[in-house]
Amino acid sequence: MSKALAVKLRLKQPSVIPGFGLTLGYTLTYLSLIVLLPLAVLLIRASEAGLSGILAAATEPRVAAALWVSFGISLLAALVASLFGLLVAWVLTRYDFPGRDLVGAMVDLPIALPTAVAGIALAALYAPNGWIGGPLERLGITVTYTPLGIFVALVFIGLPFTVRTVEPLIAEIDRDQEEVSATLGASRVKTLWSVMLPPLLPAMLTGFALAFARAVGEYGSVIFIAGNLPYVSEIAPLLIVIKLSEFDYTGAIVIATIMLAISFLALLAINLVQAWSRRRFGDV
Amino acid sequence: MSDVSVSRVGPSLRRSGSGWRSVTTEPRAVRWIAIACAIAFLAVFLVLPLTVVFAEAFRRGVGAYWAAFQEPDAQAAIQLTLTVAAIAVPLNLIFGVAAAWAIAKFEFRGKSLLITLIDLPFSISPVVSGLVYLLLFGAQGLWGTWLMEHGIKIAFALPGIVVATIFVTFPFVARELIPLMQEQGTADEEAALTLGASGFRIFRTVTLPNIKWGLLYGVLLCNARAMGEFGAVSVISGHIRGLTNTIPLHVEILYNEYNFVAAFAVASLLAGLALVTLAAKTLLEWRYGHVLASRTPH
Amino acid sequence: MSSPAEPLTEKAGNVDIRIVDVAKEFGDEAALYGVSLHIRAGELLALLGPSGSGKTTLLRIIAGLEVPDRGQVFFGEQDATSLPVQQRRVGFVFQHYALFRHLNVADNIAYGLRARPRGSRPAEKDIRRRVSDLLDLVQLSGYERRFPGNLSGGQCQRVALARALAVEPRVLLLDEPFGALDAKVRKDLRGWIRQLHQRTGQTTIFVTHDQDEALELADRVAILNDGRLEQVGSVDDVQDRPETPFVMAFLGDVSHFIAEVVDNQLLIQGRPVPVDPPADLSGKVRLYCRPWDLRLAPAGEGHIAGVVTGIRRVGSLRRVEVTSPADTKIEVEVPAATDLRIGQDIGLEIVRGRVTE
Repeated sequence: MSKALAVKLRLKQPSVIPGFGLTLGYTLTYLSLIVLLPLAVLLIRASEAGLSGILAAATEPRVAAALWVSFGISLLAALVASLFGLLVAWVLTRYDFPGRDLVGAMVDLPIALPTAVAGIALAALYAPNGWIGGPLERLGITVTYTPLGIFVALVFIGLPFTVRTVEPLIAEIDRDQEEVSATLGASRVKTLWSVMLPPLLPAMLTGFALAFARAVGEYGSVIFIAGNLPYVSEIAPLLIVIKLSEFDYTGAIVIATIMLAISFLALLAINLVQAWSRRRFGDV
Repeated sequence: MSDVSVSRVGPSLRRSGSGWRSVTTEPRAVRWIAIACAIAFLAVFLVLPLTVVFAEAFRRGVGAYWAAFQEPDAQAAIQLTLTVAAIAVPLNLIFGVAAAWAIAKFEFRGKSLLITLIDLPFSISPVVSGLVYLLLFGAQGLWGTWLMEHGIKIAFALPGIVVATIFVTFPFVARELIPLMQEQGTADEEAALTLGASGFRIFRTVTLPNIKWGLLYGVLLCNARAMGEFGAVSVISGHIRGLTNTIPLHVEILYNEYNFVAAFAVASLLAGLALVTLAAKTLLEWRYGHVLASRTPH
Repeated sequence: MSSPAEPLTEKAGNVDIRIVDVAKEFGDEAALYGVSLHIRAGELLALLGPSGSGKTTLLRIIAGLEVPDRGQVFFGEQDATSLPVQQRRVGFVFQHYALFRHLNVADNIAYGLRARPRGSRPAEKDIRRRVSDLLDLVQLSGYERRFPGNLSGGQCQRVALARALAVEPRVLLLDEPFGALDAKVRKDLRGWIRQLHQRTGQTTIFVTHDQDEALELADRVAILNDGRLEQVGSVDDVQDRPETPFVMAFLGDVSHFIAEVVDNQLLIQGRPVPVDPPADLSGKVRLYCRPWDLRLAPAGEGHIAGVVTGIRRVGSLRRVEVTSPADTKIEVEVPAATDLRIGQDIGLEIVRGRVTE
């Protein structure tokens, strides 16, 4: 009994492989200095403002509008990125076509391309005289300097996350299950919908949450195309920068804290979804 | 709908000589529509933005393109970016290897919390990353007064840019190595131990060769992001022209001055870096697919 | 054949190994509860047991790859319990070989020699000669420049063996050495390891879950179950004189019956059985019988009545499954010529068996 307890309380399972103390010590020190300490300072500064101070700053109309723009459009963009992400991942893993590898490699572009470069490229592309903006303008649709521009940039940013999270699961789909479903008389559509889609759902949710978390914080690729009109197309990260340039540190800290809280909630949601799907479907 | 397409498939496939469709795929027409949709979507959202960078950069010809790099400010920005990456990437490389070793080779409590904390910078807005360092090192920051009194400049100077860059690129190498090393297990290291090798020798002669391609890829990603980071650096650098402007910040200034050709010319440098990174990744995956662990993106 | 093996027959490094009351607990994996075992110098010992019995844990403790919670490991007179694995001089062959994929065969084998501190490291010329001797020994001459990725499973196994032998280990430890190989290669390699052991006289311990493998290859067998040592003995000992019901059941098909000891006479349903019960037993006991410990008898005769419910051919014999009225299935081995049909009523006579409480 006490022995079993001792085993449970043991912080680390003994191992003959050397270097645990050194590497973990270094990891924890570096992590604390680079990540944890600065974040702690942010939270302490936010708590100095007090709950009433945070509420007051968050409900300031321009701040509330920016948060609304950021979160609302991020949700929509993550949703669209998830749907197209599923399509792209499906096509890339299940179908063979010329240039597939090239297309597959392109999916990571939004991760590799610096956000400022993506920002000016999207702005030029969707400008009223741009390659895509021109034709759209003639249809009466304006993208740049509107929330639609923010949406386009955030879909761009979110795409790799939604594709790459479902891709390995689609690749792992057991062909036997499809064949069983077919031998049981299910149509292809029925098989897709009721046999193959459900196991992909947790991964899609994870991809959605990742894309959303990234979109909420995105700055570089949005500000050039958004036009940044207060109350219309001004995103929360930009407002932080504006507050800082006005030396309104408290305002900047409050917005940052709210965004941090939302990111953590998204992270928590990802972990819960993964824990749930592990319980339900075994290891993912 | 499926019934219609299935019945239509018969004759069309007979023409192609097969006469039988596998039950584990969709009708040919559905497949091609899906492929077309996916490619069209990717073309609009990925290929065109990339193309437009180079098209705009060369709009006034090669001469104008080159002129953008002759400017002293542009050269200062390039030099600063190279310096920042040269400091930040090796530091994160060492951290990534140490963290992956501790996490992948040992069982200890709090491991999943540690992994979550390492991932943290990925889910924090770059602007917030810049802000937290401003709160430490800025004039109104925690250590601001002390630093000022001792004449040490961190915010609005190179050290500030470096730490902010380290923060945003913090997880890249570790993220790449942890799943890879977990997959490889500890048998190779144990075998080397029974053969009498020391810890450092094992790392150098057994572990490192096993992870080198994953490590290289992590470093490439880390480097691409370090050179391209915009939001965090924008907040901490203070935008001092010729002094604290990195390449992305220089692009922003040129763009806001309506100097589009120069802005896109300088941006094409970073786009080229992104392409090289993607090409290297594809090459590594194609050549050494088995040595890159499957992973979710950053 | 004999000349290249010459430098390898040195037995000076061979030691006996004593394991004293070793215990190891994990969160949920195979644990050990106070195992003591003596392995003689130069013998080939099998650690046999089902998965989760702790046999691999014991092997890894001997190697120094796991640290026991309590107990000691002696190499000869030396207490090796806290000796780091690097200094134990053991040759460990991993289940999946753990060959270094980025090194060729020769460099894999030379790894341990090159890892030695500068003072005791052999000259490069001597390392190369030793590698080529070892390749001769494992019959892979000419494979120096190959990489592990281009070798078959059996070849990998032999390279792993050569790599382990290169450091002149005091004991050779093999973890499920044939587990990952197909049947034919497995059989070849078995004979080959037996031969190698005869030639080098190297103290060798191997872990296996396959009883045939253990019985065919080993001088002695140590049988583990659930973290405890059930029996240690020669192949004949464990087969003919199993000490526990587990050993009895693990080493082949076995049927058991409830019997009674009255006046030192074993009875089943009132009829005497020609098996002498241990003197200290009386009342209800268990009787264990192998398929060849039973004989068929006409219906109504013998100790047990039953119905033939299955017949299959095994080599030159026939295995008959008899179901008793209590619905237990009993396996009996009979000559192939015996005339039987399914559904036939039949009697069973017990000829031999082992009695326990």
